[in-house]
This record gives sequence, C-alpha cells and structure tokens, in this order.
Amino acid sequence: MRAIEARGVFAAHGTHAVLHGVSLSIDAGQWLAIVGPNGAGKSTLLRCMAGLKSVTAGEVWLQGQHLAHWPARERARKLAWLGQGQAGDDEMCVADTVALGRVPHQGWLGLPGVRAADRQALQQALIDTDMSWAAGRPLKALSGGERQRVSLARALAGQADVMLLDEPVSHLDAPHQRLLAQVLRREAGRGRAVISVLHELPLALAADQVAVMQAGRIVAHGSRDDARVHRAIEAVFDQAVAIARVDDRWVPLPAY
Amino acid sequence: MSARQRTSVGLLVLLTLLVLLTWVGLGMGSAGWQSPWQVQTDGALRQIVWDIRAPRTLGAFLVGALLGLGGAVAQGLFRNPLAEPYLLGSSSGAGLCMGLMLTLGLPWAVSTGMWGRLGLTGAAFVGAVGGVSLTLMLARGAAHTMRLLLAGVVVGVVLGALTQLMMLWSAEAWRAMQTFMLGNTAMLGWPACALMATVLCLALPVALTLSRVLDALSLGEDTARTLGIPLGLTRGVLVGVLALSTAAAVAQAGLVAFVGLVAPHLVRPWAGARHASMLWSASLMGGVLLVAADVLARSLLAPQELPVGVLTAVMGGTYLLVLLHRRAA
Amino acid sequence: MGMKAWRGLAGLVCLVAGLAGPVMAGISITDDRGAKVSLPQAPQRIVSLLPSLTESVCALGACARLVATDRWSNWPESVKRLPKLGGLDDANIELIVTQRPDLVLLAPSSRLATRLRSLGLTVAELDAKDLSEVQRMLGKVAVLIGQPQAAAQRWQVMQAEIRDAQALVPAQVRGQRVYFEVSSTPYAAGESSFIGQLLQTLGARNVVPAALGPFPKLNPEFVVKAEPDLIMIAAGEVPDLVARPGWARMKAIKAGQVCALQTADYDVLSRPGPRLGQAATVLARCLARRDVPVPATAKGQP
Repeated sequence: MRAIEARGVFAAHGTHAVLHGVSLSIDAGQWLAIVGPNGAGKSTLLRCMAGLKSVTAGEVWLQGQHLAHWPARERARKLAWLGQGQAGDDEMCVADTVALGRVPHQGWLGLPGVRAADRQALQQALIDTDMSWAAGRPLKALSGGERQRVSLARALAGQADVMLLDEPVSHLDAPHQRLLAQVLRREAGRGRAVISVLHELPLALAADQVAVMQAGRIVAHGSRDDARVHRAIEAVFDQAVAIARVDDRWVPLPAY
Repeated sequence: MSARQRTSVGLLVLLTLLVLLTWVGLGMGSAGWQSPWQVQTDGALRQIVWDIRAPRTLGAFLVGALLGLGGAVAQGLFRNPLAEPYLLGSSSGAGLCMGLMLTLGLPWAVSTGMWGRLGLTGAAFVGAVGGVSLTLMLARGAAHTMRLLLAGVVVGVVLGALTQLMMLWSAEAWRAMQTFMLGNTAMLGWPACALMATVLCLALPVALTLSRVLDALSLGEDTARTLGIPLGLTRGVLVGVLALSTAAAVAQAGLVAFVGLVAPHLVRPWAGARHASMLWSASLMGGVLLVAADVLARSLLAPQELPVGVLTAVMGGTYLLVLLHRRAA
Repeated sequence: MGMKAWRGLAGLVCLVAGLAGPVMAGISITDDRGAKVSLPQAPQRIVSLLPSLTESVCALGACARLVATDRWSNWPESVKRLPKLGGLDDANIELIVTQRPDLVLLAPSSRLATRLRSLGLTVAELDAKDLSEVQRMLGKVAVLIGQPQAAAQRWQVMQAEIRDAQALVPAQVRGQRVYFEVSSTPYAAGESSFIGQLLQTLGARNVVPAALGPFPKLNPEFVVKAEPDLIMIAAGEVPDLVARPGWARMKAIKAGQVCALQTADYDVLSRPGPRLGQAATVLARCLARRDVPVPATAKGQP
C-alpha cells in the first residue's frame, strides 16, 4: 500500500487545463522532491493530493483509501500540509501557533485541552526545528526564517503519516535550507511519507526521490541518483543547469 | 511578566474600571453627580436610580459587550484588523428597515400601542439580520472570505443609498434616523437589558466554542482546511453569531460607532491573540468603553446629552493613537 | 422758438420723468443674508421653496401669483395643486428655471441661491426662528410682493388670534409647567424657541430653561425629575410613553395629562410663519385640556 498516490489526475484553473493525467505515488519512509519550471503545475498537483483542489478527472488515494472517503478528522490526522503564506497571527506566541498543529487530534470544537501527548508532540516539534528558545515569543518578534521554522514545527506537531510541503523555504538562506533537509530526512527516517515542491535544486537533489514536471506532466521520476532524472532536469530547465557529482552529492552547476 | 499574568492583571484592571464606572454611572444624573449611597435614605433617588440609571448603565454595558464580541469575531473571521461588526450589511439593513417602519408603518404602530415600540426595535433587528442574510446569499455561503467581504460592501452601499432616499422623502423619519445613526443609550430600560443579556449569553459561549477555529484561520484557509475544520459550516455559524449580536445591539441603541472596531485592539496587548481569551476580553472591553462613553455623554453638558457614538470614537480613537505611538517608538 | 417754448419743453420732460419715477424706483429689500434684492415692479410669478414663506405669501394676499412650491408646502388647499419642485435642499434647478419666476423665495440654509442668481433669477433668502423674526419676515415678504401694508395688517390679525388663544386658557391653569417634545430622542422645545415663546404668552412655564438653547437634546432623566404638569408630544409616541424607563411614575403620565399632537398640528407648530395664531390656538386648547382637533381656520383659508 502506497502512503499517498495520485492516479491519472487532471486539474484545471477555470477553463485552463493545468494537469494532464499525472500519476505519482510514494511509500512511507520516503522523501520525494518535485521540481520543474514555473507553471509546470507542481503546486497544483500537491494541492490536489492534499484535497485542497478538486480534480476534474482521476483520483487521489491516501493509505489505500480514496481521499474523499476519509472522514475529515481522520484525514487531518494522517495528512499534514505546509503551504506558502501565513505563519499565523503576529501577536500569537510560538508555542500557541505550533500547538494549532494538534487540532486534528484535539478537535476544533470547544476550548483547547492539552493532554500529555499534545505537550510531547509540541516539545518534539520545537526541538526538531530548533525553536524551543522562542516558545514564549510572539511571531512578530521573529525573523522571516524563524517564522518559517515555526510553520514547519506546526506541521510536524501533527505527527501525520504524510507531509505535503509547498515551497517551504522560498526566500530563505542556506542554513535554513540545510535545517529543512535535516528535518525532512529525519521525518522520512521515522516512517513518514514526505513530498515537497521545491525550487531549490540542491535541496531537491538531497531527497530520496525526485519527480520532474513540465507543462502539467511528469517527465521523469526516480531516485536522486537516477541519470534519467538528471537529464530530465537539465532538459526542462533548458540546459541552464548541469547536474554533477561533487563530494558525494549531486549539485546543479549553473551553465552560464 | 508572563502572558497568563498579563491577562489576569488586565482582566482585574477592566473589572475594577467597570465597577468604578458603574458607581459613577448610577450617581450621574441630569443635575450632576450624587453619591448612590443616598438611595438608602432618599426614596425619590432610589426610584430614579432603579428605573433609569441602573438599566441604562447595564444596557450600555451590554450593547458594548455585544459589539465588542462582534468586532473580535469579525476581525478573526476576516483576518483583518480593520474589520468591524457592521461589515456584512447589518447596519444598513437595520437602518433601512427602521426607515421603512418610520415612513410607512407609523400609523399602524400608533394603533397597536405597545407593538409600536417593539415594532421599531424589532424592525431594526429584523433588518440587521436581513442585511447579513442578503450578504450571505450574494456571496453564496461563507466559504470564501473575499466574496463575503465584497458582498457585504455591496449590500451596505445599496441599502444605505435606499435609506438615504427614504429619508429625503419623509422629514419626520429624518430626525429619528439621525438619532439612530449616531447611537442613543438614553432609552434603555430593563426589557432591553433582558433581551440583550439573553443574546449575549447565547452568542458568547457559541463563539468561545469556535475559538480554536478562529485561531486556526490565522494560518490561512488552506491550512485550516487540512487541519480538519469544516470551513463552510464553522464560518456560517460565526457569521450567525456576528449577525445576532450586532442586530441585538443595533436594535436597542442604534449605530454606535467604533466600539466593535477598537475593543479587540485595545485588549490584544494583554489578552493575547488566542481567541479563547480574546473573545470575552474584547466583549468586556467593549462594555466598559460604552459605559464610560454613556457616563460622559450624560455628564459633560448636563442636563443635555451628547450623542454617545461621538464619545466612543473620541475615547477609543485617542487610546488607539497612544498605542500606535508607543508601538512606533 | 422762444423762452416759453423751452420752458414748456422742460416742463414736459419733468412731467414725463416724474411719471416714470415711481415706476423706475421699483422694490428693494435686504434679505437675511445681507444681499440686496431688487425688483422693477411687483412680481407676478413667484416660486417659494420653504413652507413658511409659501404661507406668508398667501396670507399677505398674493397666493394667485405663486406658480410653484417645494414638496412640503401644503397650505392653503390651492397650494397643494401647484407644481412641486423638490425638497428643501434638493429642489430641481431646471424645473425652477422653466417656471420663469420673477422672484424665488427660499431659506438661507439652502445652497441654491448662488446658482439661481448666476442663472439670472431674483432670489430672496428669508427665514424666521422666533416671533420677532416672523414679524420681520412678513414685513419683507410684503414689500417684495408690492403690498407693504399687508404685513402690518396680518400681524394685527395674528396678534388677535393669539389674544383669543390666551382667552382660551382659564386662569387656574396658568403657570403650569409644560414639557414639549419635538422628537423622541428626546429633543425638547426650550423657552427660547418660538414654541416656547408662544407657551409663555399663553401663561405656561417651560421645564426646559432658556439657557439650554431652543431645541436641546435632553437626558430623559431630566424630564422625569422635572415632573412637568403637562406633556405635549407627537400622537405616535403616546402609547409608548409608559415604556420609557422611569416615565411611568411621572405624575403627568399617571394623571393622563398628555396632549397627543397630530401631524397637522406639527405642521402648524413647526413653521414660524403667518399661522402662528393657529399654533397658539393648538397650544391653548391643549393647555386648557380640551380636545385638539385641526382648527377650522386652518383648512384652506388664509
């Protein structure tokens, strides 16, 4: 059973077709990075898999069951989403914001009750993202990078089996990208399934698997060492990059 | 000082302020201030305090509390610090219905006696709820924030224009509408208080139940949805709470400006952003603000009265300026 | 031609000049805004945009020369049939101009005067707030319509009506304290308003002192504490008076000493104009605790 699977997904923005029969799946314990040029449909695909966008044809399956057949609360416990945009209210403190990630477990009705499991998940998430020092600080007192880490911690706090991240480190510096790589690898190591849409090729090439998209289709999907994937990346970016092996890592070399 | 301590201190300060203002309010009459202790000896004063000042002070508190709650819900719902309870067409709906009642229905109101008063208040209430319903219909549900906001603006503008038109046609309605537009706490009696207290006791707990939803909305609609929250349903209920509390306040006291907008901002520094504490703090703050405004309205030019909405704007606005200044500095 | 012929010619010129003089001298007043309003002769097509001015024109005998009025002018009956040009603030300028008036009367608070003057019309801005101003307003309108004596005559009639109204009020109810409510906020009519002045001439006292201004917005507690002997209020408000907090205990309400004023009464009471005498009658009947029907003289005769 695949952790999460898209089967022949078609999607559109209004009348404009964006995805043309995309099939993608991932097992638990794997980290998959989706790369591709702007407008390839990466975010759209991820949103369809998260259930945020309706598909015009095809299906999304989560742990062997159709996405639509999952009750909302169960699905929320299994699937965590980290999108672009708001980290939360400026005035709310870090701990409270991260605690929101526990809503699928606590329920959204009534006043928040904090159980041991919630507290533990909260602590773990803060440690994993190196934000324990800021637990009591309001978001407005943090830098952009720190706020992104808070968002990441919120997504981790849910302890969901599947994590979908849409460009989680755009505009962030190298140390933050490194932190993200560490976190995602750790999560995959813990048995989660992680899919991240990334613009940063070095980061993408650190994942277990890479899927290359262009114009609403997947042109290549394989492990990060797969040469076909590398050629596909070079092709979709119009040969502006060349994938090379440096120091045991795959790196994109700029070809200009 | 930790967040919890700050909240407790803030709460204590507000409650003390409320008690103080109530004391002043009970003693503030058309001839200046007299100590309410004198009710023990003075029968006439006891009458005045019980019949007029007590329900008026309590009524002002309840109106302010309802508007403060509405403001906090509106700002949480729309993630916009400028949101206020009149945003979804409740004020213009109430105004239109009242205007209709005054220009067309007055002879009817005369013949039915008691229903006349209930009629005007009831008309405002029905109009407020109707305005919000119209907005919901135009926006086709509460699922999309932008659509809801735009629909609210459209409804507000159109109904407001219709009300203005009606005011042109009837000079008598004009005077009454003027009072309505500026807010008036002068005629709040015990029945009005009972009505508003009932609504507050319904609206506040329901809103508190959804405080987590309001918190989660700060993460964006997408994230809130993936956390398992049924956005359409919960936002519909929140809009309902907003409509009901605003309608109850507007029906009794007219369009008191600014309280709903400013109360959440005034409490945020110490109540925190979590809606579990923010909602009732904003409610309490709104109540205190309006009681203060009511006392001032009666006392500055006694025995004349200033429109209470003017005072809420001046007081709330000044304090907000101070806060802004402190933040910028 | 000799000296005699020249003298004859000079005399003829003087005669002609003398005859033409009164015709050329025309009508001239200064209106309430200080503008000089001049007419070569008495106006034949008058437009009035304020009910009290309409009523003044008619009361002074020039009703036939009115060609159009504002929406609210409704006395006397003949006025109701005249074309209506809009409200007090929003009268239609085009319609005014198409009436080809040689005189337009309006209130100083209207903003149309400048515009109308720039279109070549003769405009007089007049208004009155109390009894003495009414007298002055009548005087100016009378001069404008070419019948300067009519004002004094009308004033005499009004004084007589007021004296008759005074006679309606028996001595034992003089000195009673009255609360007159203009609107339900509550706005009251104070001593210095013309309603207050009329009440004073009728021997009543006002619970609202002059210091508060003509139409103050009151704290309702003030009225309750003041315990007036008589309450004058719009008929529509009467059923709800007991619902007002604290009002049920007022002695005037418990004893039923409340005058319910109909809309027609408010028309008369809210227009400081030639029908002040009728206004006084309405007030007097109320003070004397008699029914307040619409007075017969108000039904269409000036």
